[in-house]
Amino acid sequence: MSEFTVNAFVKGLSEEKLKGCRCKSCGRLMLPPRMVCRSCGSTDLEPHQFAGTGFVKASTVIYVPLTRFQSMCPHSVGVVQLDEGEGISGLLLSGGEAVEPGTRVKAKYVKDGDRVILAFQPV
Amino acid sequence: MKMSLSRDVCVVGAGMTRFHHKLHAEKQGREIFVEAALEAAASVDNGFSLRDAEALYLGCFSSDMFEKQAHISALMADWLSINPMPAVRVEDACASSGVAINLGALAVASGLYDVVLVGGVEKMRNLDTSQVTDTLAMAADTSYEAAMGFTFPGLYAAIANAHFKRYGSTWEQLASITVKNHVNGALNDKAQYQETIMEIAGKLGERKGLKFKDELEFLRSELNPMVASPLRLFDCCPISDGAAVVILAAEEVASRFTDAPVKLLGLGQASDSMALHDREDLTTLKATTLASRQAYNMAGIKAKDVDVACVHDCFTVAEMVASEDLGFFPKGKGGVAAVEGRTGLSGDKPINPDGGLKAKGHPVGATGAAMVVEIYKQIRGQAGRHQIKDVEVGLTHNVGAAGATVAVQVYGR
Repeated sequence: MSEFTVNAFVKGLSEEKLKGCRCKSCGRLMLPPRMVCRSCGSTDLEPHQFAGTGFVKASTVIYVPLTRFQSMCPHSVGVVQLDEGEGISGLLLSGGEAVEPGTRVKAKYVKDGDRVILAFQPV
Repeated sequence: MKMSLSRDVCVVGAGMTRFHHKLHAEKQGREIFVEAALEAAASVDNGFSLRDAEALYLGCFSSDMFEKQAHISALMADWLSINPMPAVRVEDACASSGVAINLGALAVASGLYDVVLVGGVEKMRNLDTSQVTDTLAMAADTSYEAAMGFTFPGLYAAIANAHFKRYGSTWEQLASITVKNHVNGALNDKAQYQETIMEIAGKLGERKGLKFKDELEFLRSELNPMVASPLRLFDCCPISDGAAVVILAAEEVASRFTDAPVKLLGLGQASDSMALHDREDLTTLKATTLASRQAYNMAGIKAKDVDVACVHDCFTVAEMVASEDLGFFPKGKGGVAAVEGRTGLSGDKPINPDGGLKAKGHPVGATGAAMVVEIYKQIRGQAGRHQIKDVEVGLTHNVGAAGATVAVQVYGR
């Protein structure tokens, strides 16, 4: 069975780790992890932990939230470009303020009941 | 990929319910769909019995969540009293019926069927706004986007901010799309909102004791609250109930039904990464570019040959980006073109003459088919008060979620 699952990624968040994978065939890094390489289609993959640093590529402040985010509203969320070159979505810990594109951020792991949300803090 | 169909396919009839947030409150999806199908049948010039169809392709996003009803392809065939019938439900988020049109066309082109019904339906207003927000977010990546707090408007807001940053486009340009689509919707008796922005501003303002000198003042006011910055309420399409149905026939039998069929000249479809964060360029929907180029190639036309287009404006920014990705305007210039009136009813590239998703409404599974209803009428000169002059070629552009699925068709004579 593949170790590159959603469950493994989510479990990684609870350990404050960004668990992705690397293609042994072409070197492509992937976060979240996948079972087939996005670049070359190879299935020869190995675990790779991401550092959790990068910059905000685009973001928004949400005023009409999902029901599970109502207690945090308004909240910022965005697409973060990690230093390894991959993009990932995350909550932005900016106190509900807009975050400028290009802002450097670092991964944070926000506990909310029985789940952990991937978030990024401007640094 | 082969760039032609084995035989030509025509639209010979089309119908839809009015899209609305209240009008259909006492009905189920099945009743709305039957209404649309009966109108489509009645629209056929030489008469049509629903039993003339040999298959049904039905687009629907989430009757499961909205109505607690699955398997609605068979349900709709049953309620149309056309059993036995191969009935197929297509679910590709908001592109469900645009994809269903493609599949229906391919089934006719294959030679298996001569006549098929294709339609879409969505009954969304059973849920409240927050439940609808949750349901629509299922069209994005639940585990990797919604789990981090992204809503569906939020994804398009991120696209807007990326576009603003890269091209210097502005929210005021988006507002001009809102204004234009409401002008058009006011002329469409099937539209959910048949009022201009100034008419709405007057009505809402009166209740609050506020007066607005122009559209922008109203759209910047507290009466147009932020949903996901920079997108405000009037940048977003409404929540709607509705259905639309078109009748597709092989060209060789089309003359049985009408002397003025509308020919499907080309079709295209593409996918893209499910999550927005997996795309290098956030300012474009690559699947729109790919699907439209397939359709243009099959039709033997270029973007400049399109006389009128129904594009997927689930948010104002989506219309701006689509008008660029479809090749109507250079990248980064869609907003300027909208402000200059080029996409209005009398512009050189009219977009969404029926009011678009913004004013006409967006019962998600019905939208792709409703676009074809509009283009069918535009090409036949039957669009009434929002008719564009001299339409030879019309385009439909139907997007699933933030561009992970796009279906495009080009129609002519």
